[in-house]
Amino acid sequence: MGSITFSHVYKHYKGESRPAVNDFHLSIEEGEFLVLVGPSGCGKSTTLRMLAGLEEITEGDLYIDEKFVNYVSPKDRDIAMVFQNYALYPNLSVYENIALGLKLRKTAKHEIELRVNRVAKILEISHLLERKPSQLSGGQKQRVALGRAIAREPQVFLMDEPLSNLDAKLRAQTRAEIIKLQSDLKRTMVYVTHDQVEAMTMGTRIVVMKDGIIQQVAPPRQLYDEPANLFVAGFIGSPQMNFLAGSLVRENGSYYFLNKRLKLLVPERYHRHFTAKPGSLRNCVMGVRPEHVLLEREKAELLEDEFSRCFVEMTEVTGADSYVYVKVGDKTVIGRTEPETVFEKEEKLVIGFNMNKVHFFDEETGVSLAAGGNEA
Amino acid sequence: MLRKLRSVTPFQVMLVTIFTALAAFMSLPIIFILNHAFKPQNELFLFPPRFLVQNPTMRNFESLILHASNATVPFTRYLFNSLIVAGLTLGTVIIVSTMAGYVLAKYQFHFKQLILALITLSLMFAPETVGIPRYLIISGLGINNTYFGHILPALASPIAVFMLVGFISQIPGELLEAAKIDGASHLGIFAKIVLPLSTPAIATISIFTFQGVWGDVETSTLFMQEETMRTLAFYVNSLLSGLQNSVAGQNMAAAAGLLMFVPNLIIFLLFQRRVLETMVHSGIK
Repeated sequence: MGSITFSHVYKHYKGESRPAVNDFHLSIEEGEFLVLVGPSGCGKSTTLRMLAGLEEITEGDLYIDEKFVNYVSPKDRDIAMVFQNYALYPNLSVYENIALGLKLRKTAKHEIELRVNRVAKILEISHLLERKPSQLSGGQKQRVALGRAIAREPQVFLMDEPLSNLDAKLRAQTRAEIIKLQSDLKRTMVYVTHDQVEAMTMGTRIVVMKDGIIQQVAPPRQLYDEPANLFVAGFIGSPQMNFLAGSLVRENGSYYFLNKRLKLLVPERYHRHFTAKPGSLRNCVMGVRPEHVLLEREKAELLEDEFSRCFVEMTEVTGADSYVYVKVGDKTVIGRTEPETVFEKEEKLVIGFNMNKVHFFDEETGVSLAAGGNEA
Repeated sequence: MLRKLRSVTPFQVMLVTIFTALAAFMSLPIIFILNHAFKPQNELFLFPPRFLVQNPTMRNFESLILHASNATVPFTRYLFNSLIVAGLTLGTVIIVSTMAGYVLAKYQFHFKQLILALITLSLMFAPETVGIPRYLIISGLGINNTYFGHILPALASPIAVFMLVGFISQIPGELLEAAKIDGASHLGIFAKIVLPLSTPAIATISIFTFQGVWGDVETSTLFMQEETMRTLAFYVNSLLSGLQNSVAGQNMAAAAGLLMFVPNLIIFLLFQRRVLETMVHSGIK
């Protein structure tokens, strides 16, 4: 119960040249916590609204529990949705807000009372049941909105950026509560957010979208370690992954990444791909996350090739880490260091990269060369 | 409390003073009409006229009732007609306008913009210009001398629909979507969410619809040939116009004026708090 299948789903809006959702093809398993993430206007909310039945599907099929639901009205889909602005009925008390969905479904009165009280207890809002939504704080409203969804005991929970109206502390707290709730209820949850931290911490699987197109679907770790393309690599992770343009060359049986300043030995795991597709030996973009940038004051006994000179532009201290912005040629690279390490502005450093952790992307298509290699 | 007082700026003091003076000035006609109805004959013609009554008397009402009881149709019949017409019109205008307002504000359909434009356009017609077409419709339908003939011309109230469209479009769409997911039908969403949230706007349209209908003489004059179907406003109006140049009837006119005014005041006092909410809400989302 609670599995969802999107089969090549499209959404066209009148008067727009490109579809808001373009060939969304995905199966969501029962009990999964799926997060849709992407910049605003990427079609993630539209996808969720199509799943809820609030938007028509232009093309393609949608199945919930293997039942074709394209033309099924929202109330008959056995779903509950939590909205960004909570959408509590201002004229009803908290109790009535939670109970309305049950009442409309002709649940017995004592059953309604039982469920509302149980949900209120779980969410610690029992003392608020008599109040009107206008008398609640943002966090309390969000709990009531969650309660309204939970009380219905639907097969699928849909959440449209439910935390973005909360302040940072409350957001982290509610985030943890939703994760716990999902693991307790074991129901399918589809969660939309533009916040990549939320996506990474909550989802068992994450769908990254851009311009209505799925960029990558993967568990958080894989998404971080093996981004499928430049967009995903840049979107996931904070600060952003560093990108350096250059080209790939072959010398004496080894492959090198080459640009004006650097000549770096490409690790062996990429070789398979290069031999399979010799045409891919061309311009590429190297991506490296700040934690895989090595910064040293003195030239160590490390390989001469892999290092180059750079100077410090600025330092950001977050508490747990420091991020050093260094200038390599005309390009700024961000590196993570221990917070104790203090670099002066304009200080000359030697930069290196953990080559086992770098990524290569095709310059034209942006597709990861590693991903292509695996397929080949 | 002291701290609060200290935070009052001279500008606020000025505003309060000006608005208090303005409110006092605006209330003068009300004070006048209240006093006028109780003035004895000699005070009614006093020159210079006085605002406040000095020797209040009920004679004016007595002579009004006496005059009315001599008429062919009893006074109570006019009153009954007025109450029925005002009540039914109010109810139907609220139902029709809120439903129309909800659909126009929250649904997408063909020619929606055209319909909205037509409603706005119809706001521009003076009532006199539609008198003849209205008469043709009423007589064509054969509803002269029925209550429906009173109600129909007021039923489609463009100003009420116009106001409600504006008000209902401020209700967040997510609320209606949440209700949809919760399992509410179209009518359920309308009755459980839209209607309760629109009460301030409904109160506002109730006040002016009531005032319009209560004071309306057009339907009684044009569409009602039988005296028994005419309203209180018509009776008072014909009483007053018959008395225009007479000295003797001025006391009845003063009493009738008050009788016509009191229901308006009651309706306004009943709904005014809600009206203020409309004004507060329309500013903030």
